Amino acid sequence: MPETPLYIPTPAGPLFAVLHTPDGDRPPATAALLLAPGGDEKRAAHGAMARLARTLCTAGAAALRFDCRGTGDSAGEAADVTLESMEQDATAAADFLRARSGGAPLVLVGVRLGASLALRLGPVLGAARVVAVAPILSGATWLRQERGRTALRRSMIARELAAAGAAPGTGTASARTDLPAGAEDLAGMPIGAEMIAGLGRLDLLAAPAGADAPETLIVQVSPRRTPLSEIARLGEAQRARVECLNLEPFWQPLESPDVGPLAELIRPFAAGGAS
Amino acid sequence: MPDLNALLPQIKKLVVERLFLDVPAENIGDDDNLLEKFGVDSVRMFEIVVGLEEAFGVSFADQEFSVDRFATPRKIAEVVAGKTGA
Repeated sequence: MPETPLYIPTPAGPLFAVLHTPDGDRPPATAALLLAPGGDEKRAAHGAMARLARTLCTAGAAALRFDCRGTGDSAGEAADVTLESMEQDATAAADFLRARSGGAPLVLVGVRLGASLALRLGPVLGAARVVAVAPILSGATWLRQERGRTALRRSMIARELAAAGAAPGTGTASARTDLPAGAEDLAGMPIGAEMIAGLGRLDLLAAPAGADAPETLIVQVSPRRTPLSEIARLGEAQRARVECLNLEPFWQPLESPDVGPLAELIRPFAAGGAS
Repeated sequence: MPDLNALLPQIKKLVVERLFLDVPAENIGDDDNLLEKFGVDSVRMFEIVVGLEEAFGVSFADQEFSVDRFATPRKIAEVVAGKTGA
């Protein structure tokens, strides 16, 4: 299946993207827009997002994955990324994909922060279906955990440096000092003050789905066989189907997490099937 | 006094599930160092902490995220007991 790297022009600068198209001359059955995680999670999930796009393509979708501004190979700086800029970029990417999909129904497939955006943008973009994988329900909680993860990482590095006989504060155990005012270094990824404020306001449970909500599938990725109470509440609020998958968190920098079961779960839903 | 004996099996089960370890939870010692015995790195340890938050309904401030605090099942149980009053 062809994979075409390209740039999507936007007023804020070009966005790097890869368009996956089905083999042959048949028009795509759906137009699947993949929304990646944010921050450091995006880097770790890169390979999984490509795998998901390829799997959707085998079901006849044209699938587009892209880098929001300030990330990957797109224009801009990481510290300037905001939730609003991510939504603007997703909208530009959706318009681009639609123009190349012959009017096929739009399906949003988001992971982590991308899933949160997919749930918010689904009705706005007129999506037929939304797949939200491990959505971030509370931006404040995610921020707290990411700060904790950063602290844990520094703690681990400091421990190893101390074991090697290095002086305290040596090397990458220290916090970065080259960031703009109000910005933070979260697990090696700069995050700006406006993004921090926006995440503090992100609360999916406070925004139930409207009457125009797309058909939605929420996937909980966890060893739990039943939904967490918050996920169950989100499912009710979004009138969504909820599935639980016992997978490693592929948005963390693990060696080689297998997202095959996730891809197989999403494929029929994205294609419009009932299961 | 927190009942660590009741918490420890739950902690070990959570560690096995979250880290996808191929060992029975009961084979993990209360004082086994997870870093040294299972090669747990900061990414895996973060998964344990997130799992604790989900399973026990607790939350940790960023300054509480330190390797030593979560290094063994007993230390983890003590942290959880301190949060829940178990």
